[in-house]
Amino acid sequence: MAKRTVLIIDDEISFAEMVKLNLEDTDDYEVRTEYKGADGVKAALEFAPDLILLDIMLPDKDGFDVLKDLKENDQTKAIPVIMLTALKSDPVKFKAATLSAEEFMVKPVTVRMLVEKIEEVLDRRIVEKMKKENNS
Amino acid sequence: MTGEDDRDKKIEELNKTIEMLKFSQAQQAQAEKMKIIDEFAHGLSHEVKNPLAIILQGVDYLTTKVNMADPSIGSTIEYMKDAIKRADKVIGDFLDFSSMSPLELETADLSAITDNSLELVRHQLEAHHIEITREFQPGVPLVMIDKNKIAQVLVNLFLNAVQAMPEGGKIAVKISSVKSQAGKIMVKLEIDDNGPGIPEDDLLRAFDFFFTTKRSKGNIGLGLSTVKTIIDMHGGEIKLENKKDDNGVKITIILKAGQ
Repeated sequence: MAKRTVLIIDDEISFAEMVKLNLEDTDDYEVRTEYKGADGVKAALEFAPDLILLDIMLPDKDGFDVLKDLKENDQTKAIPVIMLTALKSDPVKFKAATLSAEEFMVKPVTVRMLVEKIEEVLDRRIVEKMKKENNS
Repeated sequence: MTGEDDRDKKIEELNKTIEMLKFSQAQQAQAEKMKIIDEFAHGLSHEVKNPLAIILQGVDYLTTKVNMADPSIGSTIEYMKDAIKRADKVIGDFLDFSSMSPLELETADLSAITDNSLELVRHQLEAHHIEITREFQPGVPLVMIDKNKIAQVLVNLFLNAVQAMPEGGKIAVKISSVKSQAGKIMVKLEIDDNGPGIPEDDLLRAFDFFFTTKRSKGNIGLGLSTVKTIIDMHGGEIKLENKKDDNGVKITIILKAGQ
């Protein structure tokens, strides 16, 4: 089975690299990391990942702006995004949902929690795609 | 009405207005204080949760690389995971505390709220064989309070009393009206338990943030500071003391009678 591709956009370099290490260690994922919002959007266009893990507090532009850019671009709007942040508040969660993030997770998360959530989002996307194909 | 009566009435009205103004100023000051704490808590949360996230990912990685069947390695990893969880809970509880919403004041019967709060903890009271006695003075005036927050205070205090008497005991709840030194009618609520009491040194710090004598049981010490903050927001008073003539703790809350 082909490896699933994940893009991590997070300015906490150690965190992004640890998640990359853990996901790639399962042999099921190929992971790319970016530490700035603009670089993340660029990488999403080049890399076309299956899923993006996106932090909110980024040095150049915040995660919500990145999310908006991704969802407004025809090339990246279908890529599911999981917001993975240290910010825990209902308004933040609400904003992520209104900007069409697929899921929202609050750090710290275990590798198991993260993998389960990634699989859940990707499986959901496959089912939605199959339904769409059957209807057309 | 005589001129003197008219003057007394005006003075009374003026005093009431001054009181309301003072209360409103105190509430505004409290709201500003909470806003600063909330901003601080969110900054702190970001700065602490990120390192915790890195550590947890690291611990998870190491878990796949070491011999987890070795009991000393397995338990070390579990201790580390528990410590991460505990630190995360401290931050989470602090965030919950700091994001406390403003008061939604209404006129309410403190006796009814006390009974409702006792009902909420009934299961714990029964499980620990705690006997409740209620002495609610008839005709006690209503109070101007946020019912949910005062219920939160009472539940917290009842559960503290239960924790102090895990093998059983008594809680006496008394509500009465009293006059302040300035002659104003106040409502007094007293909660007495017959547990072991609190060491005098700890009493002085009982309302401090993060002070707890139950850290090993997962308590982080925001319970009583939350209680005090809520009572302060109401412009009330709370006192915690060891009973002089018996074992146990007495908590006294004084609230202003409602308009």
